[in-house]
Amino acid sequence: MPYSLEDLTEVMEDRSAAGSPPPDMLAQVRRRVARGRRRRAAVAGSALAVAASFFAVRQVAQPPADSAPQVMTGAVNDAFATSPPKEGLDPVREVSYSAVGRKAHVRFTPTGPSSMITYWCSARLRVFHVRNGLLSSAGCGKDGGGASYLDTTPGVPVAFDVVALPAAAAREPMSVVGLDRYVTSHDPVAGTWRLQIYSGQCPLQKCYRPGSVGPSDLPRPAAGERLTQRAGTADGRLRRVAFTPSGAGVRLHLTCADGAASALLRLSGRLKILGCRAAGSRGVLLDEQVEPGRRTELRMSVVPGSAVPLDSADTSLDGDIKGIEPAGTWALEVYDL
Amino acid sequence: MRERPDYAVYVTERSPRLLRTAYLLCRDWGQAEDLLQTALVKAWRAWRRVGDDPDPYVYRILVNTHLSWAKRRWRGERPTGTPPDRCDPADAIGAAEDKAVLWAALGRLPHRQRATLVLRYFEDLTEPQVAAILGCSVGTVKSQTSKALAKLRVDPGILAGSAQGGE
Repeated sequence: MPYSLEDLTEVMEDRSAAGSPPPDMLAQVRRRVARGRRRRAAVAGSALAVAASFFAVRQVAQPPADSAPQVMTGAVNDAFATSPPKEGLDPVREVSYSAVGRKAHVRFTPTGPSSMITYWCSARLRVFHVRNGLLSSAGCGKDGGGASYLDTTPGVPVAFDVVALPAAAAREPMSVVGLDRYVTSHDPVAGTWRLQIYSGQCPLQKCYRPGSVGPSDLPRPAAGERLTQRAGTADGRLRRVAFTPSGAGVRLHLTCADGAASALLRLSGRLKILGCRAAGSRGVLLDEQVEPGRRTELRMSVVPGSAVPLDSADTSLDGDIKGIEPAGTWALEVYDL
Repeated sequence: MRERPDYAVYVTERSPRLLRTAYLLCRDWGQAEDLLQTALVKAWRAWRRVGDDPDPYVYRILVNTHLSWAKRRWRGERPTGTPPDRCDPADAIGAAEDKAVLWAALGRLPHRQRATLVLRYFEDLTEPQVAAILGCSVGTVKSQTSKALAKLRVDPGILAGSAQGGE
């Protein structure tokens, strides 16, 4: 049947009529504004934060904002600080909670460049963790649960929100907003779970995300000066990385994680495919000749393992590689040789 | 920076309508809420510059943020070789099905063209107003609108419905 502009307007009116903003929309916006301000303040005032390192870890119960999800306070185990190290990291803090579906705000001061958070739950739960506006989660049970690793700066406090949800309900929150909505709309239930925070100089490669400074046994990609670095998601997007080498050669160090698999690179007209997934956190190295002192542009596109394997014959790197479902992260560093 | 009182009033009064606009842009309620929150946070930071009529500014943030998300995020949509079931014209709920066909076709429009239609025919803005929001010329708004409507007319779902209705 032919449609008129009135039909179009009517469809848009009808379809959009079902939704209404959450009653605490203003409060949610204010929280996000405050979070952004805190983040900026933390960056600006990192020097001041060193003084706070005396406090090690503090569990802070935030006063609830207008209709914000109620924040619970946990029980701190003081004896944890004297427990044995785990994965080479020193124990910092253990906090136990007795409710599932209620948010807790955690703040601690790392003692090293790497920190680890582990969870234990009395039943099958999923623990959601919101830091700097990013949501992550880990399964949790009587045998323990997943571990989160953070790159940290000794003495600079780290704050995050954490909430445990029943495993059956845990598929629902797919975003920070969704998590807030879920917690607000569901009553907490009784359930015991706890988190343990460790910090220090981690001797294991898995503690470090790609591109970060790792332990001494990580490969040292080059003796020369680092010219530039980039990081991103393996999504097939075309990236341009520019640098000016001082010598006639550069060394590229590409590291992939969480599903990022291979990269297509074009440098000085040469097209290369680098498989980086198998190399794990060690990354792969590629040496290339360049013109000294001349600004050089590298084009690259990284794809996850789920994508069709790259073939230099049918990919010209003139634009994004289409149809890629983003997965995993990568980091590229370029060094003078 | 302190929050200005008119900001809270604006968020409270305009959120319902803005959420509907956000939903029409991204067609997912969860994402629409996220989009609106992001837009309102950005508006908060620039509230001093916004002036007496914040709507165009907020619409602009909504559209631009949505377009940038659309470029970066995988949408979770996959093309399918199997067309959706068509409605029986004799069916009493045929009218509702027709609207569903139109709604689906609207979803197949490119993001910018869909945004143009939403601002023109849902928000009932004039072409110069839409041009100011999208940061383009009035002529571009006219051509985008025209192209979007033409695409709707030749959308396979709509054509299939028309063919079936005409049998």
